[in-house]
Amino acid sequence: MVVGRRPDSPGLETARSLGVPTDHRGLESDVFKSGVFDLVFDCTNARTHAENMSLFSALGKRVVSLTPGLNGTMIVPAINLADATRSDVINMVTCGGQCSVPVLATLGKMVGRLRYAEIVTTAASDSVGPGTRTNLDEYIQNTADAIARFVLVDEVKCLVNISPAVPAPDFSVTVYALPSDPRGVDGSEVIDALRRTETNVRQYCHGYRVQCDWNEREGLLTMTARVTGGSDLLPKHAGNLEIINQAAVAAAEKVAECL
Amino acid sequence: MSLTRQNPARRHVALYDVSLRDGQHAVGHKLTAEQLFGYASRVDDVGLSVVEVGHGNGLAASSLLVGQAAVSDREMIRAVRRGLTRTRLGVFMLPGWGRVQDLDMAMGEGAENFRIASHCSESNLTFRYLEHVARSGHDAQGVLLMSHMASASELAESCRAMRESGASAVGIFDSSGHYLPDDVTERIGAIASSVDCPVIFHAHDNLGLSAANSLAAARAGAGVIDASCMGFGAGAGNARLELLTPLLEHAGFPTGADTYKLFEVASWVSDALVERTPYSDDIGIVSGLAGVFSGFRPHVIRAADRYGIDARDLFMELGRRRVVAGQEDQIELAAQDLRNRTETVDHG
Repeated sequence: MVVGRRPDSPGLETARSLGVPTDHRGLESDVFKSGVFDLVFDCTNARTHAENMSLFSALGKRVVSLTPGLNGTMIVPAINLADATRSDVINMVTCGGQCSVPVLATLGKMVGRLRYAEIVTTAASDSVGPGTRTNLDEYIQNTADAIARFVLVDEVKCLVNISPAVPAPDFSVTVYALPSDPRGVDGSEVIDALRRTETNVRQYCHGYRVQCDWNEREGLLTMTARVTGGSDLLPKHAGNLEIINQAAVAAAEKVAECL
Repeated sequence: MSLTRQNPARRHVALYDVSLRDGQHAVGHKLTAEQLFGYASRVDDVGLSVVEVGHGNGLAASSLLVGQAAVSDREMIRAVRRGLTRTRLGVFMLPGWGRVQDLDMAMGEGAENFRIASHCSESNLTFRYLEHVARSGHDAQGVLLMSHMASASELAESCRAMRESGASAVGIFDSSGHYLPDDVTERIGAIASSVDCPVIFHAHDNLGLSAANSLAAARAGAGVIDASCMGFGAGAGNARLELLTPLLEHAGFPTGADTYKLFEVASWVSDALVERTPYSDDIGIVSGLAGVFSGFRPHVIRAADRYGIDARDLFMELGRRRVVAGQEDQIELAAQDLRNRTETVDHG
């Protein structure tokens, strides 16, 4: 079931056309009164998520949050999918986090502690909805928190670009990393490890690719992860929505195994 | 003293000095605290409205992507704060790069004017920050970058929305130095007739038109004109403060700034700040025609060199891709594509 907040919502219209039950009354929807559901995906925004949580926890329901609300257990399926079964609230971080954490965690494993990590996300303008647009601060914080949670790193910086370029650019995250000790970094081993990580992520998000012809200048490692969409109703360039959706589905399926 | 003919004053235009922010692009964001203080203390009694300081891309923008600044945002603001008593201190912020916490830091350090910028089609990113600044009782200004990529009516609509979010002035940047004076007249005119606050114009000199375009903006109703000393700014540089000041007076727009004092500051700037006097060389001209962000210049030159391609061709390719400020990582990818294409041609 899809619950929205506007009767004229194009998203609800699409859901209806696919035969999915819908309701536009938000938290007033009957489904929240009856409580006949096991899990809810919260795709609102950081502030609304905080408001929604009092109802969801009163109902004792599992929540998978696709908002950048700073709440719950952060799950990046390629890293800690098993933790999904042990949490009432699952925080899917952000699309930038889902994209960059697997790369940075792999790098960290191969080269040790990072002195500095910087990620630059570029998403096509038409794939960034009003929720994200009013939540850029929370988006940056949640992404940086996730990197600090999963990667041994001293300092994290996150920059967000929303680009109206034509044709729309695929969602991409460029990752810059400065290892604390750049000596003895074996490029081909790092590339092999990134290839394995890419394979792991592609098990739940087919459009995920890491461009590994990275530059190594003065100890600086640079690589770009790209995600293309197209596995569902979204356009090919909306890889940002694709990766967080597919990661959320993977987390929910893990939870469902134990219900 | 007055150097100009005694036209009856038509309308005051405020000069907004971007030397210590836009100029950072010209020196890899490496201005020191001493240089910042040196400039601020010398320019303070000229009679400008605002002196802006920061990394070239604004608060929290120091990064491997666009270049790491020599000193922190906080130290930059402190250095300029010490130098100013008459002129207001301004900062610049791009949502997605800087955050509310960075604005709060700048407020705590004594910044008085807060510019929130977005690409011309993405003005709704600025609303939250404009509201925050306005609620805090400070001056918020909303500015649209790369404004040649939007129509006059789109820009007017975005400016109106930023005004409604609390901006005390709104306007447009010619980030690529792409405009002809008629383009400026049309756009500033459309904005001025849609908002009830001062309209801002910010020029770059790629096509040698920064002064002409700034004058066109004043004539079309702009009330705040950006300029920098010696044109110290990204790419081909900005409109030259020490030229624009008497030019505006000459055309009947008093600014309140003292031209002789500006000449003195400019002479100090050419010794103490400027590494390469901004002027529009072949790359500057081509990037202006291509309509690509001026701040890309050093990145494009480096990438062209690395891949053995022509920097001018790379600018034209980036123009075709309609890349926007912040997409510096796309320069590398565009350069790779160009090189691959060249190799195909060579081998084919």
